[in-house]
Amino acid sequence: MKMIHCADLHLSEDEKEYALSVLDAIVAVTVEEKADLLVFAGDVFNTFHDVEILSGEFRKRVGTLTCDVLVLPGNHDLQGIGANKIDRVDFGNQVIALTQQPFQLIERCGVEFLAIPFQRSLKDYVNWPVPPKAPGKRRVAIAHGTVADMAIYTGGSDEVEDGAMDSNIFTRFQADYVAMGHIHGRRFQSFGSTLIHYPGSARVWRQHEDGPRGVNLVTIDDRVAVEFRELKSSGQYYHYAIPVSLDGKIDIAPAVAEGWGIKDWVSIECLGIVEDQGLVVQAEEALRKQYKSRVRKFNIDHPGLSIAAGIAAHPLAEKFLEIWKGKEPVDPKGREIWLKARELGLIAIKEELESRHD
Amino acid sequence: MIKKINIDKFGKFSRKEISLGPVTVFHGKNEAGKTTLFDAIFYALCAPGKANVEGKNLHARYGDAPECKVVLEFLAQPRHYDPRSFLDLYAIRESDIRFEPVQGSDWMQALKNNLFSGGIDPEPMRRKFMQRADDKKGSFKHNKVLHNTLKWRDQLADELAGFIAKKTALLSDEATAHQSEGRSQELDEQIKVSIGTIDRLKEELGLQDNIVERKNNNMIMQEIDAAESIDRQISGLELYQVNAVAEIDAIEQTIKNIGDDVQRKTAAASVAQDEWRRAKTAMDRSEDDRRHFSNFLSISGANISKIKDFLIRQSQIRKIIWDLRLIGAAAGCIVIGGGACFLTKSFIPELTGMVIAVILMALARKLTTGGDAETERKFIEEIRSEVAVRTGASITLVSTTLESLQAEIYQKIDLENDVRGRALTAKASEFKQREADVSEKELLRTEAVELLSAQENTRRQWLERYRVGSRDDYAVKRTEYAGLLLRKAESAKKIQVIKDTAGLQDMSTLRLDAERKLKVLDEKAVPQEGWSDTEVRQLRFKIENETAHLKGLEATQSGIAKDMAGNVGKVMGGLADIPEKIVALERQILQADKEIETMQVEIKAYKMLGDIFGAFSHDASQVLGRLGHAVAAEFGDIIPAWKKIRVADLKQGSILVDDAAGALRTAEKLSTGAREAFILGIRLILALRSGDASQKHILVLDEPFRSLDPDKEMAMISLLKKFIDDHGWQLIIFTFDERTVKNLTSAFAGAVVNYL
Repeated sequence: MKMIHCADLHLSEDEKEYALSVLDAIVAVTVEEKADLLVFAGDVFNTFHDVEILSGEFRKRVGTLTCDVLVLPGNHDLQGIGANKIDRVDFGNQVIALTQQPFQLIERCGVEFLAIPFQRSLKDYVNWPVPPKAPGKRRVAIAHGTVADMAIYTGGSDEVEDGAMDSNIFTRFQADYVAMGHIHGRRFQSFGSTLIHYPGSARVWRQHEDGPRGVNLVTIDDRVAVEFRELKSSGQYYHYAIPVSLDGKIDIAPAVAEGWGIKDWVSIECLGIVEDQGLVVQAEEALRKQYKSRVRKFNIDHPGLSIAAGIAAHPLAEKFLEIWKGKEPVDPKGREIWLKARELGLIAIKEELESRHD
Repeated sequence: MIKKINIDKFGKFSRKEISLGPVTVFHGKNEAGKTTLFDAIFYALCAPGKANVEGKNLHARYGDAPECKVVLEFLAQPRHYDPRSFLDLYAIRESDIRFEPVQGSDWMQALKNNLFSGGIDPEPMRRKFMQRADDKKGSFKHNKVLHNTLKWRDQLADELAGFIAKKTALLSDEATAHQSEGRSQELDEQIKVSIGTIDRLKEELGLQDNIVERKNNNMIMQEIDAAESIDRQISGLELYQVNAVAEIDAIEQTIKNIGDDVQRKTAAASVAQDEWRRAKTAMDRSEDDRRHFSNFLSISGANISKIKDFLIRQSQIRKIIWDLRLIGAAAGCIVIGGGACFLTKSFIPELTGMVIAVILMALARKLTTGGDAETERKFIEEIRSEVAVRTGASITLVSTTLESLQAEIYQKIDLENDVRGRALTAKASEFKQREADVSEKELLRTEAVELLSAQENTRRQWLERYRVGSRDDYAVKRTEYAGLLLRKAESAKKIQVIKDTAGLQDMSTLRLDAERKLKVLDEKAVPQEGWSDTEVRQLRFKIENETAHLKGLEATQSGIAKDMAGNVGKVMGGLADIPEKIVALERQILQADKEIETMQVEIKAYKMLGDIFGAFSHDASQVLGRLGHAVAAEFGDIIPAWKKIRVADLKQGSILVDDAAGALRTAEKLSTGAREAFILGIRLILALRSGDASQKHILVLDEPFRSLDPDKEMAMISLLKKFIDDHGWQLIIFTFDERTVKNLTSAFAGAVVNYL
């Protein structure tokens, strides 16, 4: 049995065209891989309002598939007025909406599916009357939440706050593969014979979701095999911390900019110290004009920039920058320290000058 | 600017007042008191204490302060100097031209700052950076935060490890609890035997229960099938959801009403037709009668005329008889020979025939009688009598002679003819009336039939719409639909009970569950049918007996089981909150790590800053080369050859100078004049750059040009003049040399010269 496992598509009215293009790519990979099943592990839509607005578009697209489609509600699908009516939404004929709380057990393609929709608390899972796995059968769990044992050091994400669950829930109920959604970063881990996978969000939904976006192709027979299929049409998120020169110049290497695609989200954070904030704003505006139409989103800002008028001409600052430049390291960590030193040094000189004026 | 010096009991001077200008020259031979005056100015400007070398020297030379008095009058604000700074920067004596100022003095640091750091001393900044970079000390707030954060992170990590350990322990406890459940049964052999007995009985009961379960699950499957079948059937009978019986009943009633009407109108039409037929028959008869009569009249008319004639001309009788014979036969009388007889049965009662018969008879008689009156009378009598008898007295002849009889008969014939004509008219009239009546009735009937047909069409359409053959068929379907709804409700109740019992609300899950259970039962080869209720009850009774028998042992066992269940409960309760706590802790650790990383980057950045600012200090002597540039900038046009001076240190021997050939040599290696002039330049630049450049200072020179030849002295004075002109400082010079006085007064117009 071949199954496409994707999650956190966040279809929304705001970026309808982009989000639907990602859905198209998911449908295309399902057809291309001749998958027997397409599984959405939650947050197909951004809010319940988006469910109401875009379920027709969703229906139209998955309606072209010949295989069954399983849709599990995530916290975002259940967000907003009327979300309790999600089980009445028409997602299409071949779509099975797994809305039943706290769990639902169905069988498709000879495999058992234990569906666990998003819920704030899963404290009583030990008492759930889940029937034991039938002899000789494979069982796939589909869930939306944070697996506590997997979340450590995964980078900042709002999602981890809700729906905490233990890997024990899946080992206890004998799942061979767990199709997870909720955490937008891609990761997986084995717990005994249970393999838990987050494919990550199928699209770039917000800042700092870097790395390729895609879906898992899961083959289930005597063993469970998982391959990641990147969705090029989702684009990627790129973040750059660029030190601004004292005269407000922002230097983006042309080679870097040439690597950006039309679906990418580029975020630039201008760092350091500058003599005139207006020059930075102008430089930012110029870059914005240059790149805005070449990528999906182009954010540029200078949240932590310090301003010190006339500092460039000060002999101490001149001498400091001259020596500082000579210490430029090659490794990224050293570079981060080096950039920080420039910022802190110039700020210290600025403060010294200000205290003298006082 | 010092305006006046009042000096008393200082060296050789007592009660002396000296006026000063912007440039003041003191001229005197050796021992004239130039050095004493220099010291007096130094004493007045700097008030050196006994603690330092200069103060000690001064007091040793001139005695204690109370005996010495030097008062300076200033043009503007009085000015005072630190003794070391004054001697290093603002006082140049012959010996000082050798330039060996004391390193590390305040003015030196200020000079460095002014020259190289825009007035900022980098050293305190360096120290501050290094302190911040020292993450071991933690004395700074910054490092305290780091240490606290590291401590916090360790605490969080410990807490997390604690929760993970707790979880592992709980899961282990759970496993242990489950295992000990099995082990406890093995501990007590007696219990084991008893339980074995009970188990065997229970096994049998279990089999029976399994059979019941099979039945139950079969029932569940049947109920699910039934529910689905009902749903399918209902969906097939949705047409009958709305009750349309009243509609069809109304149609049927209308059809019935119209049908009755049609029947009535058909009967009426039939009656009218009967009446019409009867009228027609009567009319036909009447017409036949009248035609018959007319025929007779027309057929016999000529003969009757002949009869008339005959009655007058007897000779023609025979011939007439023959002619009338056929008519007579038709009329029911036969004329034989001279006589005539009535054929009684075939006698035509109608008058025409009778008349003809009478005439025939009369003719026959007359033929026989030959005209005898009496005979004729008798004969007429007989005829009258016979006619009366024959017509039932309806025709009564009164004539007594043949002629009158003939007339009378004609009269009656006419009368009868009239009667028949009228009768025919009457019958024809009635016939027409009946015919109109029939048409009317037929029309009414046809209209009713059409109405009926329309209603029947409506009924046909209704039946087609509901796909039934009749109203009863529809009613059957309705009943079937209502029955299905009832069955659905009943089925739903049953299904709900099943769902509640199974704890599964989804039909597909329920079906899957039942199928799986049945499969398991199949695998166990559980039979379809089991014992009777009575037999099962007996089995249960046996088990209860056995259970009661082992009550004490079982109580102990149950206590153990209870404890174990409690432990499992604790495990479950303990596990419930752990994931959320782990996630929360991981989140906090992540945050702490980020903060720590940020702070560690800052610490390393401070370390780098400390190194960079340290390089400023180490670099200071090298950077002091700028003094050379400053000299070049200040006095370049006067001593252009020394543009490339680099000061290695603030010692004469460490001043490196490019000579004319471009070779680098120490200042000591320069010619005396060049070296002195250059060092004066250095001294002036030092004085200028070491203090506050916006202030106008006092420059005191004691025999500065003593060793110089006249050309070099002029060069030095030019250098000095440029400086004084550029910066407006007050200049006080002591010299023994007349030539120098002359050179100075010619260089500085308005210079005050005091002779000592």
